[in-house]
Amino acid sequence: MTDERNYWNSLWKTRASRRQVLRGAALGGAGLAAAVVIGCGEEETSTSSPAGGTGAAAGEPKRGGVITWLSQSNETANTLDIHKIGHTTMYRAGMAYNKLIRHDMSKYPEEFAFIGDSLIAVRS
Amino acid sequence: MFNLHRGVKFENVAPVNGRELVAGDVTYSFQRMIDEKANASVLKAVEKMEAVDDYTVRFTLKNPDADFLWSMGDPRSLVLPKETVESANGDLTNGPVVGSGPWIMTEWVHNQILKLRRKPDYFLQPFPYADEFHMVTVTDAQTGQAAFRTGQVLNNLTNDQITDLLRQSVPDLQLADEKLLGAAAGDRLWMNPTKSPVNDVRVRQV
Repeated sequence: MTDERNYWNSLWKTRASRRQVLRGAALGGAGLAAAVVIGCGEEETSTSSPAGGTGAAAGEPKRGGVITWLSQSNETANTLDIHKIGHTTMYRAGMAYNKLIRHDMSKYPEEFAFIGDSLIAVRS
Repeated sequence: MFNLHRGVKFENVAPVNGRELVAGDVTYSFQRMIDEKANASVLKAVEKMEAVDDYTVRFTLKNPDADFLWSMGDPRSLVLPKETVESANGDLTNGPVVGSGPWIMTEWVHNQILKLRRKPDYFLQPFPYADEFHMVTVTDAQTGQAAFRTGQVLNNLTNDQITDLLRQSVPDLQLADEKLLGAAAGDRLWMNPTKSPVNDVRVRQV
């Protein structure tokens, strides 16, 4: 707990200039996958908007920057082994790995393709 | 059958040293996934896996399975190099995390912070766009609200009521495209097994 408090104390020292909120109860891996392709400018520059988002201050995305993403979890399992625990580990360690294919959410909800883009493989 | 892209490489650190991802990595990873059981259900339809050559993986299913391709895109169907498992004596609890994905893990503190930086030679250019990804984990909603209000995180997972409250204190609040979240959360149809007809296991099996 002390470590956690120290971490948050240090985190509060700086402020970013952007505000975004996602409505809903849960966020899955696909959401994270989408989030990681959001172009963000420098930390203290103008507002940015998610790809395809509705932000009024949307501008040209810029390469670079840091995405700071909130995840609410009180996970008891303390492991990075993706084969020994369920989804939450996937969200963190999983971002360093790849899958054969990925689900295509680009046209959701009008079209929901289970078989999405190829990632590291193409189905034949 | 899946044909792997050429030139997909793992992170260039020991013990993998940036070697190319090959079909044997896929079969090894999925077999470990089955053996470790925690996520084995994702591959329940698989009877046999074969690395036909370095760039070809063939799956034989126990029976026709409409969900198989969905399973291949499941967040749990990840490919790792066996060298990392061997170097950790079979237990990756503390890593190393060495993947071929778009991000390289640089820091992890349980239930606090995960930091990743972009993999510069990721095979699918120009992704990722950002230099770093910091996943800030909080264990309660109040801390999450505070982090959002003070601009320490870009997002907040919330509901309409909390969103309305945030509007009052965060004048430049932006709502992200809800399709993103809908797609992330997925649509599910749940059965209530206490009521007829789905209280009959045969109906649920159908």
